[in-house]
Amino acid sequence: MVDAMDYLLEVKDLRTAFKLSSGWFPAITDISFVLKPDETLAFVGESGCGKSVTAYTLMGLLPQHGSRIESGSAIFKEDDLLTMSEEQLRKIRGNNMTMIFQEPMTSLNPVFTVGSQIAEAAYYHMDISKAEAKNHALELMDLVKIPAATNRYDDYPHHLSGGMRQRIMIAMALACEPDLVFADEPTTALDVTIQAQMLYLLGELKQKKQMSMIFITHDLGVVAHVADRIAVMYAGNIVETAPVAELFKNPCHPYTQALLKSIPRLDGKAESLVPIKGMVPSIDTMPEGCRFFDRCRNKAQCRPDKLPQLLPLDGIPDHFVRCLLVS
Amino acid sequence: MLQYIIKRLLFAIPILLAVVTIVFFVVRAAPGDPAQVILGDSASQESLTALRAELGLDRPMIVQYANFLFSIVRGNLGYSLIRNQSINSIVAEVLPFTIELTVAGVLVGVIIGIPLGVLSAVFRNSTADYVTRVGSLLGLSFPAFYSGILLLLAFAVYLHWFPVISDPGGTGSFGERMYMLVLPAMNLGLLMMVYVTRSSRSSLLETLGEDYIRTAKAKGLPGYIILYKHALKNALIPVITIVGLYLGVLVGNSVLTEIVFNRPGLGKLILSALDERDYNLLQGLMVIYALVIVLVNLITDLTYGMVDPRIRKQ
Amino acid sequence: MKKIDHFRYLAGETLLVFNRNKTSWVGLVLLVIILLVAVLAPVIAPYNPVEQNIIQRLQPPSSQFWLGTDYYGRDVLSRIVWGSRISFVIGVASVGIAMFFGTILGALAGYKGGMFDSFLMGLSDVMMSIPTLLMGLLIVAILGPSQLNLTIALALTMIPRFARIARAPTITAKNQVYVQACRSMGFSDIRILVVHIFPNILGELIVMASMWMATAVRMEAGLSFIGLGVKPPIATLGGMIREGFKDILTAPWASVYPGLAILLIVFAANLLGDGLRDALDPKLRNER
Repeated sequence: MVDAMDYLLEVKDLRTAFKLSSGWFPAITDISFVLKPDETLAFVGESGCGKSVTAYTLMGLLPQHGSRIESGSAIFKEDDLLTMSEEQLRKIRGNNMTMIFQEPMTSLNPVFTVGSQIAEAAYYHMDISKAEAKNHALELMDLVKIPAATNRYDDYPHHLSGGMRQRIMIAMALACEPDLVFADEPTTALDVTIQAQMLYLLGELKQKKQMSMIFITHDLGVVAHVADRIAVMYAGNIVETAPVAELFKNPCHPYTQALLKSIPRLDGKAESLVPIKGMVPSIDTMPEGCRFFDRCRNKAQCRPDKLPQLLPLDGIPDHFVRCLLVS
Repeated sequence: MLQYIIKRLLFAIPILLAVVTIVFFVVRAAPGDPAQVILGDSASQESLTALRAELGLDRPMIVQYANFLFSIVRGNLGYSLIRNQSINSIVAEVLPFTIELTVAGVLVGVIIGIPLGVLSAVFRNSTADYVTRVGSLLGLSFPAFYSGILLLLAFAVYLHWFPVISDPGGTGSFGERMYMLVLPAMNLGLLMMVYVTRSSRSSLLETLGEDYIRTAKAKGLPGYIILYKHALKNALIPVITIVGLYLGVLVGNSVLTEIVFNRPGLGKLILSALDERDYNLLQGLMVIYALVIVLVNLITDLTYGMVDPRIRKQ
Repeated sequence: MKKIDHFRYLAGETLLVFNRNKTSWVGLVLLVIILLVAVLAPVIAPYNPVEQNIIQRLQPPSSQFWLGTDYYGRDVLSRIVWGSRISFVIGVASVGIAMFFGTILGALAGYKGGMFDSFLMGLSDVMMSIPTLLMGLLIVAILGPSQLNLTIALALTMIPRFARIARAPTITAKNQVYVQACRSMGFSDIRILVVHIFPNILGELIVMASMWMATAVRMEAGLSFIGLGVKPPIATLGGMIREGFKDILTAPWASVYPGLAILLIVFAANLLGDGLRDALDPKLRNER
């Protein structure tokens, strides 16, 4: 038994629904996980699997119209993120809990200087003057290795390259020394060479600043470098979660196995790539039973009507799988 | 920035030239002989020929056009034979009234229109939003002379808040002049207000869906900072274009407003030019209008450049 | 045969669009009523609109003259009914002409490109930089005031705007693979424009036609008010206000009611156009 206080974030039974023309449909269901201080948890899955929705739900950034949280709790430190007032949440957002977005171009306000956008994050949460906020922003720009930060402070976002802009986003997220950072595909929009730099920077900063991170990506290759734990998502569910090494060594869910086979390997073993057949069900056509059933290579031995639960593996209590055929 | 200004200036010249050219040839296409108009039907053939020679009307069209262009470049709009006065001085007498009216109209439109648009966007699909939207569509449907008549009836005839016949040309004080300006400015501003309300509403709605607004929320900024600083500054950029674009319509409506409120100005001047068949004056006035429009477009572009850093540094 | 399918599809789409936005229904119903009034003017109007009756002049509204009489003793209601007929005809005709020529010129400019395109667009820039009312005023002043000349003047001011609308999507469509395929198969330019490009811009054209019809009616009224409209004694709404304005203090009905009629026509056309635009806008579509 682990004491609840050991967790920075404890999410239980989270369910978020979106409104389509034919009614409300859940985009994520039965999402439960825990996050320890300093831990990095990676959510992996195809686009539309609900990994970003999970993060946006916790950050309180879902669109106001057309979405609702239908159940669940998310205890961050001691308070439930889902039941607190908007004002309470606002004070936590940007301060204890922040987010780095996928598109550094559109996520920065084009009509304000990048420096002021970093300073602003500090100004509204820390009890400091505008001048102090500016100094703080310059320090942060140094921290994320922006060369000649003082010269860059008054630049507008369109002056900077994609990599530089993402560094600005990171500096902004770190402005108030947060306990938890959500990184929503922070490298996807960048060039491959810059991706590696950015991952390195994030790892380094995480060590320096002692924070937890929830890293969202569709790229299993990226995950291996940054994450402590992985949660594989499929069609709005977590289908398997385990520490990184364990998951790569012993993938149990057929989807995880297929996912691992679909990444090209660079270590010389000439295994052929195996694409996953079929399509993810859309949120208004979710099957009652296992959501992966149609695409599963083991479906001959299985049944379509029964809903599997996320259960620990026998003998490996840190490894959870949602599959009827795995015990 | 300087480069930007010069580029815009150079761009404005051909437009102006083209407008002036069109005006010149359209006016020349008017039926009737200007000399005949001036001297009347009973004039003798000799005096007509003499006057035509004096006016340069006997010279080839291209020479007349060149002379016309040349005098405009020197800032000379020509001479009205019917009024026996240079067009420059005729225009100079009334231009301040039209400028005063137009500026006041724009101010009324912007000062009322932006808050209405913001209100409508923030409380989207509420009753207030619905009323604003239908109301703005109704405002859009008012011919300027009709809204002017209704304003006169309501505020001057029934409520007696303002005089029915305003005379801003009198020797009145500044305060009195502004007092006379209220109703005409409201009338002219109504249409601008509608355009500004509609464009700021849709622009703000679009801006509120942008990624950087989500970033601002993720930073935990207070709601009013997100709305008034992050969203509004971006949302107002297209509104500037709308103001510039519809200033042309406003200038057109100023003609009608001046007639209804019996104010001196370019509009009334244009009517008397039409009545008197004073084509030289008509032509000069059109050139002035074209100049105003081109100038307004230029100012719009420059404002745009000042507000939007993406344009400024190009 | 294929054509029939195409039109049935368009009709279905149109109905969907109308149902998506209730205000466009209101606008359409109002316009149809106004159209009926305009068409049936000879039947509906209680009196002869031009017959003067000096004894009955400037009568306030009564059971005999529902909306009163004007300075010459003419029935205001009858004149409004006949006046809206002129407004409606000029509005529809000028927009129709502008749409026809504007669309063709714009589509050709977009399709051909090059000098032809630059020249036409430059010209339209210039024409659009002159306020429409002044442009109309200038043209009518030169041509002389008559119903036909008013229509031509209004159409001329609107042609550049329709050309603009037709041009941009034509350029987009021109570069689409299916259009290039048609070209490579040797289909004529006209056929490609009509079959493949026109349907794409139809929605926007209808919205613009409705909005500009509102503007055309408003401008016609404005020009008539200035005295550049159809010559008296023919009843026009703007002309009625011009005449009634002199007696505004003693007989406001002679100018207020015709104004109301203009407002109603313009408002109906605007409602229709605005509603259709919202319904056709893909960005707004998912919102509701």
